[in-house]
Amino acid sequence: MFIGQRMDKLPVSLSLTTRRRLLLACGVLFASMTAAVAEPADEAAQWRVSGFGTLGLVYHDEDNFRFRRSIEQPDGVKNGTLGTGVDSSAGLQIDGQLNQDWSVMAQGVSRQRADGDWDPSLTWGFVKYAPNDDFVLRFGRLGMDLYLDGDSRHVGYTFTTVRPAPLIYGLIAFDTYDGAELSVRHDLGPGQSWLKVYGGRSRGDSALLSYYKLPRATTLGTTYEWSTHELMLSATLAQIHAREDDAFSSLASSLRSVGSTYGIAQASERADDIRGTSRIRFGGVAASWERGPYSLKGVVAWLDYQAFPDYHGWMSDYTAAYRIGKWKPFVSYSRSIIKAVDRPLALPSVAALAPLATRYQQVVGRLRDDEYTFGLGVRYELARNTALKFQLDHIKAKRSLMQLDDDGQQTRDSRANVFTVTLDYVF
Amino acid sequence: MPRRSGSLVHAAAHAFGAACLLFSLAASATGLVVIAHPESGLVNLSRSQVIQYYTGRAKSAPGGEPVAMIDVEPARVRFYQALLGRDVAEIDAYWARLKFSGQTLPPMLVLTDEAALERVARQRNAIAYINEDKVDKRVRVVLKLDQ
Repeated sequence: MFIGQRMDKLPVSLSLTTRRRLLLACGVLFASMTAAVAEPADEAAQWRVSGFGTLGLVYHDEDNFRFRRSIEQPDGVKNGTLGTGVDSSAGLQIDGQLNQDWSVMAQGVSRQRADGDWDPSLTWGFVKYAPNDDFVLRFGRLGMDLYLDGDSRHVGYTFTTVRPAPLIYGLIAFDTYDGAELSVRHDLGPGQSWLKVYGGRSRGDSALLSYYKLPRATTLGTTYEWSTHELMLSATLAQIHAREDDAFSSLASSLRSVGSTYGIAQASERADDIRGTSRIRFGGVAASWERGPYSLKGVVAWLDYQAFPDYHGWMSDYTAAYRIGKWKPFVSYSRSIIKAVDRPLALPSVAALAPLATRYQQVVGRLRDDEYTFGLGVRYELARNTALKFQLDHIKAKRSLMQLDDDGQQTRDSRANVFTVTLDYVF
Repeated sequence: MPRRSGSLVHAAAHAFGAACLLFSLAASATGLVVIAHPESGLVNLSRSQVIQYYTGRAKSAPGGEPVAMIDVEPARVRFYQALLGRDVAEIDAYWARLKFSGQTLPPMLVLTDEAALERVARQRNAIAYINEDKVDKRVRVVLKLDQ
């Protein structure tokens, strides 16, 4: 069962809550533009307040298809309606420079969350120690540095497309952690290399089959990056390990009970396969090149999810853009294939076992994915720090973990054209 | 005759307008220079060093002292085009990513060349860029940018 309100519908009227949020976002946008004009910027500031936000509208007309950008979203945009909740968000940040070496930062973001709520959450909140250009230590609430846009995936203004590739960044549900991150820089050839190592207690939740809050888990990761001002190459390796994860303990109990009651050894075997732990391992390589009006980006990532029934997969995304004055047209292509380890279960055709059989198939198939997305769009610089974007995505999925049908289950054999307009701003 | 004199007045007005336009274009086409405090220890900066500073990839002078970068609104577009060959909107998006991922803050923004001059004259570790013809003895030119 999906927990949360279905907030993406905008057929004729908006809910009071949504209207308030849109008004708030518009107010923040207006205030930010006013502040930008009136900024008395020639005084040094020890403290700086800044923010960002996105007003987004999504539309498609595909029956039995609900579009979402992330497995953190409990529901998607239904056909024939304007969805406001997929891309809309607002964030506020405060930075403080305590002295030459020490600084602090806190950032809160309001967006549609896995439990259906829009309450702001603390996405960053850390103390930073940087005694020189080659050494940075941060500790507190931090975000994982994944691929190219992973550490700023909620800030629409920072990337060219309306949203970072859902087939890659939409899978990231547990990307914040409470811990520490150490970065060391070294000059290498014409560029700089950064080695980043981080770890801590994982944070996050998701809405795959139902609301799932990550239990006590540990994040550990490393990123290596080499870059000049035009070219960036990076490699990422990370894991999130939960030593106690009872998400499917009730399924295991049911299987064990059926196994003993009906004498089905296979059911007992499947029950034994459901471990009380989970481990997500992922990694990837990414490259971006920007020169003059040209921008090229590519990410190839893999996923190894050790939680019943165990999944392996890979994802990729490529984007090319060319700036013509205030306009920046772009094309993108994403591909994702995630397969589950085969763990068959044959139950007798008994009415009493039908719910268990259905539940088992849902659990086994919850992360299976085979789809691609082709995108075409343009970014327009409406004003300084404000961008208007239009994007058309053609999605074709044999099986999708991201998109849902009207029953809230993952779609199969679907194809849809999704149109999105966003207004992104920072201040 | 009145019509002729009117034409002459119009012609003179057009000529004056054209002269003003040329003058203003010439003024705006003045080269950009990067300036520092005379006692900052910075004598010359290479183009690549300025790129490092204005892309947030370096924050310290060769001696280890922190460097405070200043953006100057009237010349921002020309500066980033001359320095990096990129549209300033790309630079704004780039800095937004650095800022909102907690990596580093963008340069402080001032609205006039004079404000930049005052700032650099007052703050020993500050660098800024202004039109070359606005430079005075309070600051030192450490790099001249080709347009």
